[in-house]
Amino acid sequence: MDLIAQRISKQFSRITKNSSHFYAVQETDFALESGKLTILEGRSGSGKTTMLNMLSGLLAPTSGKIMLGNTDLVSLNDDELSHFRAEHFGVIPQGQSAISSLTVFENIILPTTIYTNNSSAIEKADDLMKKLGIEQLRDTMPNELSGSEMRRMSIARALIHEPDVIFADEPTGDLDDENTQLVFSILRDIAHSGKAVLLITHEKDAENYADKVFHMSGGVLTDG
Amino acid sequence: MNVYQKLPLCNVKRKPLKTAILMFLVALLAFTAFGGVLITYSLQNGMLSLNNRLGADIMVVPDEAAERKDLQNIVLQGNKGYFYMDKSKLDEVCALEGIEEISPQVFLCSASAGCCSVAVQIMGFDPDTDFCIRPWIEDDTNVKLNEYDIVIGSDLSADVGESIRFYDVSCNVVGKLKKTGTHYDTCAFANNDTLKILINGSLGKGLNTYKEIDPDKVISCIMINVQDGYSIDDLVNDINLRINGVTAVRTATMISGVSSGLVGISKTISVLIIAIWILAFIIMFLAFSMTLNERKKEFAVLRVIGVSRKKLTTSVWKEILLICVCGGFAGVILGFIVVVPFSDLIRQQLDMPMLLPNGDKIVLYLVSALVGSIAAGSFASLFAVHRISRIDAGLILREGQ
Repeated sequence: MDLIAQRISKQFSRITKNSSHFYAVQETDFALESGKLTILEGRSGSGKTTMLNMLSGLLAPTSGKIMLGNTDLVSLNDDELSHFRAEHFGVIPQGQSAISSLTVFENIILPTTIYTNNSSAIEKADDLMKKLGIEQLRDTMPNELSGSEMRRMSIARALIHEPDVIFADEPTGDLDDENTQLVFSILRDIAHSGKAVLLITHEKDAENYADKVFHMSGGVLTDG
Repeated sequence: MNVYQKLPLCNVKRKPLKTAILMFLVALLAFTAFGGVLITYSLQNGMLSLNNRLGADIMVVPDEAAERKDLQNIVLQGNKGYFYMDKSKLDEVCALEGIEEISPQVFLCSASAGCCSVAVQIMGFDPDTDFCIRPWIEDDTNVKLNEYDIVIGSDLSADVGESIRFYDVSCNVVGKLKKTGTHYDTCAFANNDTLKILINGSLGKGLNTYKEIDPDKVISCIMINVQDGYSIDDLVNDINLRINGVTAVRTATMISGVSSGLVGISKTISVLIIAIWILAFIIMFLAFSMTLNERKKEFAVLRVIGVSRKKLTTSVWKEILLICVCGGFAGVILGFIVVVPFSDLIRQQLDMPMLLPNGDKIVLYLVSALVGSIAAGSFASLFAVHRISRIDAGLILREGQ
């Protein structure tokens, strides 16, 4: 399923000499196609994460529509949007994002237990942990993990419910080269299995895995 | 229970220090509320019990007993003692107007010597005229006291059917009274005929302070209830003016000292409860705000993976309720353990009558303190929970880079 954004923009209030607001993302159209790994590049503060947050339903755009299939994310209330996000989106956020009171395994299967009880998630979680090289950390608590292990755990958590769209905001920030390549290749494989994947990264190597590259600068999105 | 459902429990179990601190604060609220209210009520109950046990408007005693405050010491402080006046004083008082009921009492205390099983205050009454002790004995034991029969207070260790020796006179324990929370719990009661025998025994042993008394001709005090339409104060004045060698005391005046002490203690307890609640509430407010605030990134992650604001708020509430319920239970149980089994010790320390309420009332106070502390704990977290429910997940995750 493609994620289509039509004329979306995001404006924040910030009082300066000339205006009382600024555009983090200028009005733009965007399509995140299924079966493709799409990369969004740009300098810090260019609006990449704001773009990702809007597309994943975490941030309401100032204008525009975001459609997945026949559903306009902007028109959904919080309950509907949250349920929709749990069902269709997988998000790998920036930084460490573990729930500290749950084990690695519990963190990974957590998204499958919010609205349903998916029994196949256990097998899937074991599979993902193996793929990401963290299978020996099944019952470990997050405070005992290294940055790299924690990042791999959050990747597994984003993939556990086989979402239609995966958003990855600098998922390889704490990883070494070997694990970085591993994550890119996992994301590419997932994309090629029919999912739409948006990857925000500074890694130049990522372009080798990308099907499409976009660039953001000063809130303006351009085809890379 | 799946992982999401057990998340509040995991947060409580796997963060033991934070949980313990928050639970302690809620427990403190429950403990002070339950313990404080129970002690205050027990003191009021004890006061009421003492008032009921005195059962008379006026007590008349020999002048020297009034001057030495023997009466107050015996009646209010629970000290052992006795004093006597001529029985003819009873007839003189009877001749006055405005008396509804009148009855003499005779006091004695047993010695801490081999001739006595136990040193206690012994109170004698006239079964034909008594209106203070007899109704109480009849309510509690329904026995008729014959010569050599005694009824004992709840704190004495003898049981019904056993014998107690006073001045080598063996007395049968025919009844045991219910607890009153006053010094009467350590007294023995008999009719005046038995008291005469015992006083004779004490004189025979040379263990009575009064060497030259005739037990048939003495009494210790006269209890009076005033007729409707007559003033208690007027009768007190009448007795004090007209009858030599005795002092009439209004019982209400006598216990007013204890009552004012009770008011003081009740006020102190109330102020302490309020101060602790305000302090604990502020600390809890800050503690909940801090602990929830430092977990805002976790809450943002939950929002990212699809937890709605409503579900997030519910999950956090469950966690807080779990802490408050466990803390509340711990507090009231601790309050129960401290106050109920040690009520006698507290009574001795406060030197005031103290009678625990019945089980139903204790349960009512316990449940009220529990509900109150849970509500206060939850209320203290209200602001923090509201803030958490409004978090901007995207912004928080960016802050944590």
